[in-house]
Amino acid sequence: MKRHSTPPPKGGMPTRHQSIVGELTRGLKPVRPVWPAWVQWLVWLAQAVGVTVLALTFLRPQDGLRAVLAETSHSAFLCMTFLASALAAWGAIAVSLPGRSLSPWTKVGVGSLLAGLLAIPLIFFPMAQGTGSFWSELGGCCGCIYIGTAVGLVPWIGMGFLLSRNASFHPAWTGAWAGSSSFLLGTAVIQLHCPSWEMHHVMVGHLMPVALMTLLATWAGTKWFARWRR
Amino acid sequence: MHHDDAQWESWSRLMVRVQAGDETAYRVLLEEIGPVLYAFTRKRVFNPSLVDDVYQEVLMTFHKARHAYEPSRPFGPWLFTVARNSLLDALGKNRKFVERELPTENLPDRAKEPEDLGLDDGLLMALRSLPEANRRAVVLLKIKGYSLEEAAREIGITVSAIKVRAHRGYVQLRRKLLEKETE
Repeated sequence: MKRHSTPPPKGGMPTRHQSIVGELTRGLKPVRPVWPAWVQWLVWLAQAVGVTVLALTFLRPQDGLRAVLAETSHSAFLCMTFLASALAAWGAIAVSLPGRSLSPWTKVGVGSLLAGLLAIPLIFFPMAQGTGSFWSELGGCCGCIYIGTAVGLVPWIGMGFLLSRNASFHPAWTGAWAGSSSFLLGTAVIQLHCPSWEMHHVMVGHLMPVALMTLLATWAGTKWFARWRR
Repeated sequence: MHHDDAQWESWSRLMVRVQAGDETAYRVLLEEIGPVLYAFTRKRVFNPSLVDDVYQEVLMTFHKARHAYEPSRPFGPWLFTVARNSLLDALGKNRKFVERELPTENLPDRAKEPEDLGLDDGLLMALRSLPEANRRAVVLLKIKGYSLEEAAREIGITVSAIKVRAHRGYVQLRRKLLEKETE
């Protein structure tokens, strides 16, 4: 265990110390301690599996999924999406619990996976010839954007309730990690459902919402995860 | 005040009882960690008249965060994370904690050099690690007690420029002191 060394207070304790102690201890109520971080992560995992299975029950996986996943770049993209989501969930939990710090490996891991998620479509996915403007592309991707976001909202709300019980001193970061985790899960689900693996469509319809919703989740995090201090 | 492993483990056990609503355990814990948190606060808040307010804020945050202690984890890092963040938030909310001048009665003899002023070793090392320009501004204003005009004249820059350098120096100094504590 790490040792902490602090000098004794010079001149004794402040006069108000006793009154603060009296105030805080009077009528002390029991509190429900937070779940250990690994338990919280397992809860997230169960939720993620549940959301994925439920969403695919309603949406149905794309036809010929087995053949699609035989393609290395496709299966790598999907695996990396799920893995980045799981690691980001761990990041959200770790950053919201005092006394825990995010290991550099988690940060490097998520960073590398996100870079890979951008690189794989650019390098390996087919690119349709004669694609239109960004706005016309966007129009064609609306369905995936809506569905992916809607699917991501479910684990985001669940995770939000889970994390709001912790005591985050970094609510924006907690929001960002939670947002990226949840909406990456949405992207993974939509990627299993949507038969298009065309590069522009994947970038605009499947990955762009993750970035936008993560920004929104970061803002929401500053409100939601700071409430315990009020 | 040096706390050994047995002490931290004893506080960890008390914390578990506090989470269960044990008033006596809470009183004992606050009496024992109070001096630690007060010393922690005093070391970081340069204006003595504000130390008690910040200490109160740290205790209040500790109280609100008591549910977030995981009994399987060491108590020390948890306690100091809560204290450090609470203190930083107090500093952020109220810039006067870092930007107000020290009361004149607390200023040391302006003729002395920082090395001769009996400053804490950690503070001295942190001061020495600042960039020259920022360190000079901090030393002149906060240690030697120069006014802004005097310090600006001494260095040969404008009052606005010395304010900027001093502010950067305070921020860097605070960061270095916090880093040192968490090492």
